[in-house]
Amino acid sequence: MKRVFASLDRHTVCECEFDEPDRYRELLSLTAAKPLIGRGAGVSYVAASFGAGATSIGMQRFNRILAFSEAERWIEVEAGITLGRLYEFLSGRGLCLPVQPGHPQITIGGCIAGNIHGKNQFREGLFGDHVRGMRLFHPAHGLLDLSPEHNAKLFELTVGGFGLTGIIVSARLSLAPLPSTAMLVRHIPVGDLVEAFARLADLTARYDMVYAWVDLADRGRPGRGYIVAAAADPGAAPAPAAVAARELVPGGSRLPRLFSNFTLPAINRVYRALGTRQHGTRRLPLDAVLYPAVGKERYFDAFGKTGFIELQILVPENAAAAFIPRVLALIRKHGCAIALTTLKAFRGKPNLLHYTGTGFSFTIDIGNDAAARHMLDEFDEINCELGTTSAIMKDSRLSAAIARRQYAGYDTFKQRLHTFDPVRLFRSDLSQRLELQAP
Amino acid sequence: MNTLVIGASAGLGRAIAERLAADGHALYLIASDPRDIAALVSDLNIRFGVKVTGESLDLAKLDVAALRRRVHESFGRVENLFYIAGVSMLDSGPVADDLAVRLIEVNFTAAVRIVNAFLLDLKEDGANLVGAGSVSSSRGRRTNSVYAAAKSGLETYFAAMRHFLVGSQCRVQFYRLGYIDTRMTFGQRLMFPALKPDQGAKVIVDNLGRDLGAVYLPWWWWPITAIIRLLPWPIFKRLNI
Repeated sequence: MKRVFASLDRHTVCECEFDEPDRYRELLSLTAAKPLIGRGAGVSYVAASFGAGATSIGMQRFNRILAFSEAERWIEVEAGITLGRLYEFLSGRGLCLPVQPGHPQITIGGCIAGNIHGKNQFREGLFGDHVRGMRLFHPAHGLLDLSPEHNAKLFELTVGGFGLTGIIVSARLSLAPLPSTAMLVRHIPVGDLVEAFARLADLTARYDMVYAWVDLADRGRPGRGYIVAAAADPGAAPAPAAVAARELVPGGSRLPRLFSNFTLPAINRVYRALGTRQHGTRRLPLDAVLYPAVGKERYFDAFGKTGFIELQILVPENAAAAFIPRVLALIRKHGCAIALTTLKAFRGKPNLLHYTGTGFSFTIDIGNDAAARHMLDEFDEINCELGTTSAIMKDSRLSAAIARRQYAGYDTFKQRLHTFDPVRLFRSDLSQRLELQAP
Repeated sequence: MNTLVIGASAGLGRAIAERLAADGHALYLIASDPRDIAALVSDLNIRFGVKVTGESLDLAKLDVAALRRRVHESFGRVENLFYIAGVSMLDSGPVADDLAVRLIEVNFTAAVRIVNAFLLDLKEDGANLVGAGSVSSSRGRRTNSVYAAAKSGLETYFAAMRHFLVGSQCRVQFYRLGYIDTRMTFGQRLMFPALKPDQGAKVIVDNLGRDLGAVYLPWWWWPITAIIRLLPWPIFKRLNI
């Protein structure tokens, strides 16, 4: 059947074929006759689970727990299971996934394909670091078992492979002990971007989760904001917990644009005041810290029909000092109001198209219009110059040329993909835009 | 309670199995594909900690005596029997013989044989016999002819069982199902909204213990089918439904 899909940022809207098998015989009888792409919750910022000419294969009905060892701390699940469902199951058993993105609606298949990160990347790395193995289906190769020991090259290519090697059917994941279902959270005010970068690096040693929210819509004193620093509350024992989240619906809103150059300075001023006014340590449920997008699902609607662009870049540690004045000058020059700016500390070694490295992850959300795109084009040049990398799973406008310049592993990824699947059966709007289809 | 669910791999049957497991039932699940049933058995075992046994079986090639033996060996007397299995296609006019046989076998014959095999179990106190029919059997139409006839026969059989079980404590519930959001309806342009399997499962499991007879699910199919049944033949024959 045909269905209209939209990326979460609304940058890409496309009518595509959609199928949603609910039995293994239907899933495993998919043929190589036409292009395919797996689809989990379909809430990626970019169009990773659909694309012109490709049939999206919905995996949400494959959401069962296949095996579980509490003693050895691992769980094997079908790829369509959501983080929220797993959280509900694991929290009562005193366990959790070590890495989780911002919303419980996201599926495990999506987490692997995007090799996502959480608010504790500096400590736990990427989602793929905790995948012990998986089953992948490709009509030309059948059902394949992959792990760091078995089919290791394909495993490496599939983790953070944007679903381009096939459909992730199931995965075995490492678990971490859940010390508590409550977090002790502090909001630490920062006066500017320089301070935000510096404090963030310091706080990672003392807290389990750390990220900063800064206000770049304030033209007078940009960069004021606060750091959210959270540590497990040792006084609260692990207990069964459920997450009550509203559904993220990409492309669902018909609201007029609320976030504009005129309104954002005032909106952000209020948000900043609310955030910085919170003194002392508060005790919050773990899910409120783990999934900060819960309760803010309508935030994305405030950008209106044309949506927004999320630019997420990894600033190497040694480039931060040069980066800050350049980015502030760029924003001042273009006068575009930034709705959201966050910072996270990162640790890791770049590989293929994974968004990782040692430094700081700098994220901005900005309304999608000509002025913003013009500014971001200039931003790309600064990034290439300073050696920063853009997150492929976040930026719908990222071109193949820029990705190639920013990712040393771009050509290796593409070449390995073509060696495994010369026909390039699995494709999406993302893979076409990044020219991963072409030989 | 010991509950046997036929047709548990997907859609409504799977949703019912999940609800029953959450309520603490010991389950014996039957479906056609071993991979689906293995995944569901693991999931329910792990999540709810109940005893779940699964078996893949082709309902068109049934050895009911052997099935009865295996089920009894697994958990003893069957206290609840759910026959949710069904196959459907838009059969109209002559259909291939093997397809016609399969439609009748899965939608009617296997149900009769399985219920018959466990009937003595169900005569005991506190049992439930639950069947899934279809609104399509409310009046014979050119589409779904074999399917609707088989479901119509099944409804008659469940009515007979309800009569037979009078005096026992077994409750019989037969659901004339409207559209359910499953593979049967996937991609089709439906005239009316489809019920989510979990919503249907909740109603069905909540109704356990009630002597319902045959009811519509959702209930609002009752006036729709009533109109279809009451349409005079000169009008009905012109309709392409």
